[in-house]
Amino acid sequence: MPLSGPQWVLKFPTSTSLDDLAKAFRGSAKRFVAALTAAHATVIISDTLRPPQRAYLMHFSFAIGRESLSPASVPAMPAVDIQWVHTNAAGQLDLAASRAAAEAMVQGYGIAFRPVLNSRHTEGRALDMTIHWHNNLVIAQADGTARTITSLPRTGAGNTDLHAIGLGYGVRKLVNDPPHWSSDGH
Amino acid sequence: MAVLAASCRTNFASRAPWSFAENIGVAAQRSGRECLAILNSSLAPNSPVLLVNAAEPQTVEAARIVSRDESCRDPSAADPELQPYAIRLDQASAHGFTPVIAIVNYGAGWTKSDALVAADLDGDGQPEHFRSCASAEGIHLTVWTDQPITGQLRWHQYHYLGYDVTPDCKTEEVNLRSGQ
Repeated sequence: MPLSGPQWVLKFPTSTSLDDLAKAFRGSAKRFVAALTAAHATVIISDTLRPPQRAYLMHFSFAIGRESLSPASVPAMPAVDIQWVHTNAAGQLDLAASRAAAEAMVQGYGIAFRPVLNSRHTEGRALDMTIHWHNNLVIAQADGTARTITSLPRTGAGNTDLHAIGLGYGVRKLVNDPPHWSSDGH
Repeated sequence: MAVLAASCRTNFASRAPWSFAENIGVAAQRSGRECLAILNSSLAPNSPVLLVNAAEPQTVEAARIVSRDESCRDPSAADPELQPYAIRLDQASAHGFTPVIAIVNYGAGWTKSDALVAADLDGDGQPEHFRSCASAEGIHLTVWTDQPITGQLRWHQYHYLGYDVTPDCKTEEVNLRSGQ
């Protein structure tokens, strides 16, 4: 089983593809993004699916490296054959080496705050996208009718008219996180 | 404290009303370098920048503008008007990957008591205080006059983390725009 360390950071990358979203949300997200694009809004998708395996690796590398969790107590995750426990020549737990390897992963991921294990992103039911436009935005609503947004700001983060249109597509805005949209607003 | 003491000797760069919007931004590591995002397109190379880590115990670090740098631009930034700069810390970074409040054209009046830093940024005799909190996948950084949360909000900027964390923001700290 491969030992923990920075080589894990490149595995299970975060997706920027709408195709990787969960089936129940994928169609909604695609239709909404297509409407935005057709309306000539600028749409930059930064994150869609965050693989649960990546969240697991981030969460427990931080817990071992920064929060003194014993590497021996980390639960296994299917499909992630990582060995958190490093051993010395005698086959005993080498706590310093285990923590150093976990810390190298923390550095590789660029983690500043404790990552959580589960979220709408790990479920494939959220996407992060930056949206902005110039002048008025004439956009197709979910029912096919066109609506002209004249209100400010001209950003997906702050325009409540666009949030309402997204809702019609089944894509809800989480206003506390400017790029974040999801199936239920969480 | 050495940084604070040095900053106390710095005079205001201008007598014009001090703009919270144009003089405060967020600094964070991006692709292995220190970057600043701020609503100001006219910062000259070598201009001093003070970095306030608003997580307690709050700390202050000194840095300087290197240059405008498009590679520092965050495509996930909520405000496309934020200008990207590369900055250079005077000493090795103490804040690591934590996004920090970056202040330019800062003046005197910096104090530190217990775990908190304060400064009279706009020279009106009222100290400003610094806060940070987490939303689901980002950090909200704020500056307040008088008291955090209950005082007057002067500045707010969001920094996208790109991974999920446990939210701990109060309602007053999110989904808002400062008066600027």
